Amino acid sequence: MSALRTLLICVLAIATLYAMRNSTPGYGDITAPIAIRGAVGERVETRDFAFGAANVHLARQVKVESFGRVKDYSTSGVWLIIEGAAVAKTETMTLTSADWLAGNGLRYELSQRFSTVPGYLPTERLEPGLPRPVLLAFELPEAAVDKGTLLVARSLVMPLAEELSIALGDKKPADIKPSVTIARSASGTPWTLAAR
Amino acid sequence: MSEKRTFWTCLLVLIVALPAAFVVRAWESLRESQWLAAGRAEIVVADGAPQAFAGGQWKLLDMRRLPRTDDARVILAEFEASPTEPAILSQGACRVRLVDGKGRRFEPVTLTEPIVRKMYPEVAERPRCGVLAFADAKDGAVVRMAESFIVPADARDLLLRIEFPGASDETLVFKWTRS
Repeated sequence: MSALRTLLICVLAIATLYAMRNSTPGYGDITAPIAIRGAVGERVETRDFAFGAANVHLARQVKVESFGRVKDYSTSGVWLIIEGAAVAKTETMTLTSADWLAGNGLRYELSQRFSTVPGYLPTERLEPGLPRPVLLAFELPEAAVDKGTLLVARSLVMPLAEELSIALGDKKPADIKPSVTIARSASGTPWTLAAR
Repeated sequence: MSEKRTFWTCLLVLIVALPAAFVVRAWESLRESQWLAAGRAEIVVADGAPQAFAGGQWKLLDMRRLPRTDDARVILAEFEASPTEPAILSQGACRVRLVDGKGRRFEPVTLTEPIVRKMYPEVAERPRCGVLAFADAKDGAVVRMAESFIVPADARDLLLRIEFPGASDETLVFKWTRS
Protein backbone atom coordinates (compact mmCIF):
# COMPACT_ATOMS: atom_id res chain seq x y z
CA MET A 1 0.00 0.00 0.00
CA SER A 2 2.81 2.34 0.99
CA ALA A 3 4.72 1.50 -2.20
CA LEU A 4 1.65 2.26 -4.30
CA ARG A 5 1.23 5.59 -2.54
CA THR A 6 4.85 6.51 -3.19
CA LEU A 7 4.49 5.53 -6.84
CA LEU A 8 1.34 7.66 -7.17
CA ILE A 9 3.10 10.65 -5.61
CA CYS A 10 6.03 10.19 -8.00
CA VAL A 11 3.72 10.00 -11.03
CA LEU A 12 1.85 13.10 -9.84
CA ALA A 13 5.13 14.97 -9.30
CA ILE A 14 6.39 14.01 -12.77
CA ALA A 15 3.08 15.06 -14.35
CA THR A 16 3.16 18.40 -12.50
CA LEU A 17 6.77 19.08 -13.51
CA TYR A 18 6.00 18.15 -17.12
CA ALA A 19 3.02 20.51 -17.17
CA MET A 20 5.09 23.31 -15.62
CA ARG A 21 7.90 22.74 -18.10
CA ASN A 22 5.54 22.91 -21.06
CA SER A 23 3.68 25.96 -19.84
CA THR A 24 6.80 28.00 -19.01
CA PRO A 25 6.73 31.11 -21.21
CA GLY A 26 9.77 31.72 -23.39
CA TYR A 27 11.98 34.80 -23.10
CA GLY A 28 10.09 36.36 -26.02
CA ASP A 29 6.77 35.94 -24.22
CA ILE A 30 8.08 37.27 -20.91
CA THR A 31 9.51 40.39 -22.51
CA ALA A 32 6.73 40.85 -25.09
CA PRO A 33 5.34 44.38 -25.45
CA ILE A 34 2.60 45.41 -23.03
CA ALA A 35 -0.59 45.94 -25.03
CA ILE A 36 -2.59 49.13 -24.56
CA ARG A 37 -5.97 48.86 -26.21
CA GLY A 38 -7.81 51.61 -28.01
CA ALA A 39 -10.18 52.31 -30.86
CA VAL A 40 -10.18 54.32 -34.06
CA GLY A 41 -11.07 57.95 -33.46
CA GLU A 42 -9.63 58.16 -29.95
CA ARG A 43 -6.26 59.23 -28.58
CA VAL A 44 -4.48 56.24 -27.12
CA GLU A 45 -1.69 56.95 -24.66
CA THR A 46 1.46 55.13 -23.66
CA ARG A 47 4.00 56.46 -21.19
CA ASP A 48 6.22 57.78 -23.98
CA PHE A 49 3.89 58.63 -26.85
CA ALA A 50 0.27 59.02 -27.89
CA PHE A 51 -1.30 57.96 -31.16
CA GLY A 52 -4.71 58.34 -32.70
CA ALA A 53 -6.04 56.73 -35.89
CA ALA A 54 -8.60 59.03 -37.50
CA ASN A 55 -9.53 57.82 -41.00
CA VAL A 56 -9.30 54.37 -42.53
CA HIS A 57 -9.43 53.74 -46.28
CA LEU A 58 -9.37 50.58 -48.38
CA ALA A 59 -8.28 50.71 -52.02
CA ARG A 60 -7.28 48.40 -54.87
CA GLN A 61 -4.67 50.85 -56.12
CA VAL A 62 -2.75 53.78 -54.66
CA LYS A 63 -1.47 56.70 -56.74
CA VAL A 64 1.17 58.96 -55.28
CA GLU A 65 1.59 62.42 -56.78
CA SER A 66 4.96 63.96 -56.14
CA PHE A 67 6.58 66.93 -57.89
CA GLY A 68 4.28 66.61 -60.92
CA ARG A 69 4.81 62.86 -61.35
CA VAL A 70 2.24 60.19 -60.54
CA LYS A 71 3.36 56.76 -59.39
CA ASP A 72 0.94 53.83 -59.37
CA TYR A 73 1.10 51.19 -56.67
CA SER A 74 -0.99 48.16 -57.54
CA THR A 75 -1.52 45.08 -55.43
CA SER A 76 -3.06 41.64 -55.77
CA GLY A 77 -4.74 42.24 -52.40
CA VAL A 78 -5.94 45.55 -50.98
CA TRP A 79 -4.29 48.65 -49.60
CA LEU A 80 -5.29 49.63 -46.09
CA ILE A 81 -4.47 53.30 -45.55
CA ILE A 82 -4.75 54.88 -42.11
CA GLU A 83 -4.54 58.62 -41.43
CA GLY A 84 -3.76 59.59 -37.87
CA ALA A 85 -1.65 61.73 -35.55
CA ALA A 86 1.19 60.93 -33.19
CA VAL A 87 2.98 62.85 -30.48
CA ALA A 88 6.00 62.07 -28.31
CA LYS A 89 5.56 62.80 -24.61
CA THR A 90 8.96 62.43 -22.96
CA GLU A 91 11.70 62.62 -25.60
CA THR A 92 12.36 62.99 -29.31
CA MET A 93 11.56 59.70 -31.04
CA THR A 94 10.47 57.92 -34.19
CA LEU A 95 7.78 55.24 -34.14
CA THR A 96 9.52 52.56 -36.16
CA SER A 97 7.16 49.65 -35.64
CA ALA A 98 3.63 49.42 -37.04
CA ASP A 99 2.01 46.07 -37.81
CA TRP A 100 -1.40 44.87 -38.87
CA LEU A 101 -2.53 41.86 -36.85
CA ALA A 102 -5.11 40.01 -38.92
CA GLY A 103 -8.01 38.13 -37.35
CA ASN A 104 -6.28 34.81 -38.13
CA GLY A 105 -3.20 35.82 -36.12
CA LEU A 106 -0.92 36.71 -39.06
CA ARG A 107 1.11 39.89 -38.70
CA TYR A 108 1.70 42.22 -41.64
CA GLU A 109 4.41 44.86 -41.48
CA LEU A 110 3.90 48.40 -42.65
CA SER A 111 4.49 48.62 -46.40
CA GLN A 112 8.00 49.76 -47.33
CA ARG A 113 6.80 50.96 -50.74
CA PHE A 114 5.69 54.40 -49.48
CA SER A 115 8.79 55.49 -47.60
CA THR A 116 8.97 58.72 -49.61
CA VAL A 117 5.35 59.75 -48.97
CA PRO A 118 5.27 62.81 -46.69
CA GLY A 119 4.11 62.03 -43.14
CA TYR A 120 4.79 58.28 -43.42
CA LEU A 121 4.99 57.03 -39.82
CA PRO A 122 8.52 55.52 -39.65
CA THR A 123 10.04 58.58 -41.33
CA GLU A 124 8.40 61.14 -39.05
CA ARG A 125 10.54 62.47 -36.22
CA LEU A 126 8.32 63.26 -33.24
CA GLU A 127 9.24 66.03 -30.83
CA PRO A 128 7.71 66.00 -27.33
CA GLY A 129 4.54 68.10 -27.15
CA LEU A 130 4.31 68.67 -30.92
CA PRO A 131 1.69 66.40 -32.55
CA ARG A 132 2.40 65.34 -36.15
CA PRO A 133 -0.07 64.01 -38.71
CA VAL A 134 1.02 60.55 -39.81
CA LEU A 135 0.11 58.13 -42.59
CA LEU A 136 0.28 54.33 -42.54
CA ALA A 137 -0.23 51.88 -45.42
CA PHE A 138 -0.51 48.10 -45.33
CA GLU A 139 -0.64 45.76 -48.31
CA LEU A 140 -2.95 42.93 -47.27
CA PRO A 141 -4.91 39.99 -48.62
CA GLU A 142 -8.57 40.97 -48.59
CA ALA A 143 -9.39 38.37 -45.93
CA ALA A 144 -6.86 39.89 -43.51
CA VAL A 145 -8.74 43.19 -43.20
CA ASP A 146 -11.69 41.84 -41.24
CA LYS A 147 -11.30 41.71 -37.44
CA GLY A 148 -7.77 43.10 -37.75
CA THR A 149 -5.93 45.26 -35.25
CA LEU A 150 -3.35 47.99 -35.77
CA LEU A 151 -0.27 47.60 -33.56
CA VAL A 152 2.00 50.62 -33.07
CA ALA A 153 5.16 50.60 -30.95
CA ARG A 154 8.30 52.66 -30.65
CA SER A 155 10.43 49.71 -31.67
CA LEU A 156 9.98 45.98 -32.11
CA VAL A 157 13.13 45.16 -30.18
CA MET A 158 12.47 46.99 -26.92
CA PRO A 159 11.61 44.44 -24.22
CA LEU A 160 8.55 45.22 -22.10
CA ALA A 161 7.84 48.41 -24.04
CA GLU A 162 4.26 49.48 -24.56
CA GLU A 163 2.44 48.67 -27.80
CA LEU A 164 -0.80 50.23 -28.91
CA SER A 165 -3.44 47.82 -30.10
CA ILE A 166 -6.14 49.67 -32.00
CA ALA A 167 -9.20 47.78 -33.18
CA LEU A 168 -11.03 49.11 -36.20
CA GLY A 169 -14.43 48.21 -34.74
CA ASP A 170 -17.35 49.76 -36.59
CA LYS A 171 -15.06 52.36 -38.21
CA LYS A 172 -14.00 49.76 -40.76
CA PRO A 173 -14.64 51.07 -44.28
CA ALA A 174 -17.47 49.15 -45.90
CA ASP A 175 -16.34 49.50 -49.50
CA ILE A 176 -13.03 49.08 -51.26
CA LYS A 177 -12.31 52.07 -53.48
CA PRO A 178 -10.83 51.37 -56.92
CA SER A 179 -8.12 53.98 -56.35
CA VAL A 180 -6.82 56.39 -53.73
CA THR A 181 -4.55 59.31 -54.62
CA ILE A 182 -2.04 60.70 -52.16
CA ALA A 183 -0.51 64.08 -53.01
CA ARG A 184 1.83 66.49 -51.24
CA SER A 185 0.17 69.40 -49.53
CA ALA A 186 1.72 72.79 -48.81
CA SER A 187 -0.28 73.55 -45.67
CA GLY A 188 -1.97 71.66 -42.85
CA THR A 189 -1.31 67.94 -43.13
CA PRO A 190 1.70 67.16 -45.34
CA TRP A 191 -0.51 65.17 -47.72
CA THR A 192 -3.99 65.17 -49.24
CA LEU A 193 -5.88 61.95 -49.84
CA ALA A 194 -8.60 61.61 -52.43
CA ALA A 195 -10.59 58.43 -53.17
CA ARG A 196 -11.81 57.87 -56.71
CA MET B 1 18.31 15.73 14.91
CA SER B 2 14.64 14.81 14.98
CA GLU B 3 12.69 14.49 11.77
CA LYS B 4 10.44 17.42 12.73
CA ARG B 5 13.38 19.66 13.42
CA THR B 6 15.01 18.76 10.09
CA PHE B 7 11.75 19.58 8.28
CA TRP B 8 11.51 23.06 9.81
CA THR B 9 15.21 23.77 9.28
CA CYS B 10 14.91 22.85 5.61
CA LEU B 11 11.80 25.00 5.22
CA LEU B 12 13.56 27.99 6.78
CA VAL B 13 16.62 27.50 4.58
CA LEU B 14 14.31 27.38 1.54
CA ILE B 15 12.69 30.67 2.55
CA VAL B 16 16.12 32.31 2.58
CA ALA B 17 17.59 30.41 -0.38
CA LEU B 18 14.79 31.10 -2.88
CA PRO B 19 14.88 34.93 -2.68
CA ALA B 20 18.70 34.76 -2.58
CA ALA B 21 18.71 32.68 -5.78
CA PHE B 22 16.36 35.21 -7.40
CA VAL B 23 18.61 38.15 -6.43
CA VAL B 24 21.75 36.37 -7.66
CA ARG B 25 20.12 35.48 -10.99
CA ALA B 26 18.64 38.95 -11.51
CA TRP B 27 21.57 40.93 -10.11
CA GLU B 28 22.78 42.24 -13.47
CA SER B 29 19.28 43.32 -14.49
CA LEU B 30 18.62 44.94 -11.11
CA ARG B 31 21.90 46.83 -11.32
CA GLU B 32 20.98 48.15 -14.75
CA SER B 33 17.45 49.16 -13.73
CA GLN B 34 16.83 52.87 -13.55
CA TRP B 35 15.76 53.03 -9.93
CA LEU B 36 18.91 51.36 -8.65
CA ALA B 37 21.39 52.85 -11.08
CA ALA B 38 23.17 55.82 -9.62
CA GLY B 39 22.53 58.76 -11.95
CA ARG B 40 25.46 60.25 -13.80
CA ALA B 41 27.07 63.04 -11.88
CA GLU B 42 25.99 66.43 -13.20
CA ILE B 43 28.01 69.60 -13.38
CA VAL B 44 25.43 72.39 -13.39
CA VAL B 45 26.67 75.70 -14.74
CA ALA B 46 24.90 79.04 -15.14
CA ASP B 47 24.86 80.56 -18.64
CA GLY B 48 28.01 82.37 -19.64
CA ALA B 49 30.25 80.72 -17.02
CA PRO B 50 33.16 78.62 -18.34
CA GLN B 51 33.50 75.08 -17.07
CA ALA B 52 36.18 72.42 -17.38
CA PHE B 53 34.69 69.22 -18.82
CA ALA B 54 35.88 66.23 -20.89
CA GLY B 55 39.32 67.63 -21.68
CA GLY B 56 38.15 71.14 -22.54
CA GLN B 57 36.90 74.43 -21.19
CA TRP B 58 33.23 74.77 -22.13
CA LYS B 59 30.96 77.80 -22.25
CA LEU B 60 27.37 78.38 -23.37
CA LEU B 61 27.37 81.53 -25.48
CA ASP B 62 23.75 82.03 -26.42
CA MET B 63 20.40 80.31 -26.65
CA ARG B 64 18.08 81.99 -29.15
CA ARG B 65 14.36 81.34 -29.53
CA LEU B 66 13.31 81.64 -33.19
CA PRO B 67 9.83 81.40 -34.72
CA ARG B 68 8.80 78.24 -36.59
CA THR B 69 5.04 77.64 -36.54
CA ASP B 70 2.21 78.80 -34.23
CA ASP B 71 2.91 76.04 -31.73
CA ALA B 72 6.63 75.37 -32.30
CA ARG B 73 9.86 77.33 -31.88
CA VAL B 74 13.45 76.72 -32.92
CA ILE B 75 16.01 76.96 -30.14
CA LEU B 76 19.46 77.78 -31.45
CA ALA B 77 22.15 76.97 -28.88
CA GLU B 78 25.65 78.30 -29.41
CA PHE B 79 28.47 77.03 -27.27
CA GLU B 80 32.23 76.77 -27.38
CA ALA B 81 34.98 74.55 -26.08
CA SER B 82 38.69 75.23 -25.77
CA PRO B 83 40.48 71.88 -25.77
CA THR B 84 42.94 71.55 -22.91
CA GLU B 85 43.50 67.86 -23.58
CA PRO B 86 42.57 67.21 -27.25
CA ALA B 87 43.44 63.52 -26.91
CA ILE B 88 40.60 63.05 -24.39
CA LEU B 89 38.14 65.08 -26.46
CA SER B 90 38.84 63.06 -29.58
CA GLN B 91 38.11 59.81 -27.71
CA GLY B 92 34.50 60.52 -26.89
CA ALA B 93 31.27 61.00 -28.80
CA CYS B 94 29.46 64.21 -27.99
CA ARG B 95 25.76 63.98 -27.20
CA VAL B 96 23.77 67.17 -26.79
CA ARG B 97 20.20 67.38 -25.59
CA LEU B 98 17.84 70.13 -24.55
CA VAL B 99 15.62 69.57 -21.52
CA ASP B 100 12.69 71.80 -20.61
CA GLY B 101 11.06 72.52 -17.23
CA LYS B 102 8.65 69.60 -17.71
CA GLY B 103 11.57 67.19 -18.14
CA ARG B 104 10.96 66.65 -21.87
CA ARG B 105 14.17 65.78 -23.74
CA PHE B 106 14.78 67.18 -27.22
CA GLU B 107 17.40 65.85 -29.64
CA PRO B 108 19.13 68.32 -31.97
CA VAL B 109 17.86 68.44 -35.55
CA THR B 110 20.17 66.99 -38.19
CA LEU B 111 19.35 69.49 -40.96
CA THR B 112 19.75 73.19 -40.25
CA GLU B 113 16.37 74.87 -39.95
CA PRO B 114 15.70 77.44 -42.74
CA ILE B 115 15.06 80.21 -40.18
CA VAL B 116 18.56 79.69 -38.71
CA ARG B 117 20.15 79.91 -42.15
CA LYS B 118 18.16 83.05 -42.90
CA MET B 119 18.65 84.93 -39.62
CA TYR B 120 22.05 83.68 -38.47
CA PRO B 121 23.90 82.31 -41.52
CA GLU B 122 27.27 82.49 -39.74
CA VAL B 123 25.95 80.36 -36.85
CA ALA B 124 24.39 77.87 -39.30
CA GLU B 125 27.87 77.24 -40.70
CA ARG B 126 29.30 76.23 -37.32
CA PRO B 127 30.02 72.55 -36.72
CA ARG B 128 27.81 70.41 -34.56
CA CYS B 129 29.23 68.93 -31.38
CA GLY B 130 31.21 65.83 -32.32
CA VAL B 131 34.62 64.36 -32.95
CA LEU B 132 34.82 66.17 -36.31
CA ALA B 133 34.53 69.56 -34.60
CA PHE B 134 37.66 68.79 -32.58
CA ALA B 135 39.58 66.98 -35.33
CA ASP B 136 41.90 69.89 -36.11
CA ALA B 137 41.60 71.69 -32.77
CA LYS B 138 44.83 72.69 -31.09
CA ASP B 139 45.51 73.27 -27.40
CA GLY B 140 43.61 76.33 -26.22
CA ALA B 141 42.07 77.11 -29.65
CA VAL B 142 38.36 77.89 -29.29
CA VAL B 143 35.95 75.60 -31.17
CA ARG B 144 32.56 77.25 -31.61
CA MET B 145 29.61 74.94 -32.16
CA ALA B 146 25.85 75.27 -32.67
CA GLU B 147 22.89 72.93 -32.35
CA SER B 148 19.24 73.64 -33.09
CA PHE B 149 16.18 72.06 -31.52
CA ILE B 150 12.46 72.15 -32.28
CA VAL B 151 10.41 72.67 -29.14
CA PRO B 152 6.77 73.51 -28.31
CA ALA B 153 6.11 77.26 -27.93
CA ASP B 154 5.37 76.73 -24.22
CA ALA B 155 8.76 75.09 -23.45
CA ARG B 156 10.42 77.06 -20.64
CA ASP B 157 13.34 76.75 -18.18
CA LEU B 158 15.63 75.20 -20.75
CA LEU B 159 18.76 73.24 -19.90
CA LEU B 160 21.44 72.24 -22.39
CA ARG B 161 22.89 68.86 -21.42
CA ILE B 162 26.20 67.76 -22.91
CA GLU B 163 27.43 64.21 -22.46
CA PHE B 164 30.77 62.95 -23.69
CA PRO B 165 30.78 59.18 -23.13
CA GLY B 166 34.29 57.87 -23.49
CA ALA B 167 35.84 61.16 -22.40
CA SER B 168 33.87 61.85 -19.22
CA ASP B 169 31.42 60.03 -16.95
CA GLU B 170 29.84 63.32 -15.94
CA THR B 171 27.16 65.37 -17.66
CA LEU B 172 27.61 69.08 -18.23
CA VAL B 173 24.35 70.98 -17.71
CA PHE B 174 24.06 74.61 -18.80
CA LYS B 175 21.17 76.50 -17.25
CA TRP B 176 19.72 79.22 -19.41
CA THR B 177 18.15 81.84 -17.21
CA ARG B 178 17.78 84.65 -19.74
CA SER B 179 14.51 84.84 -21.67
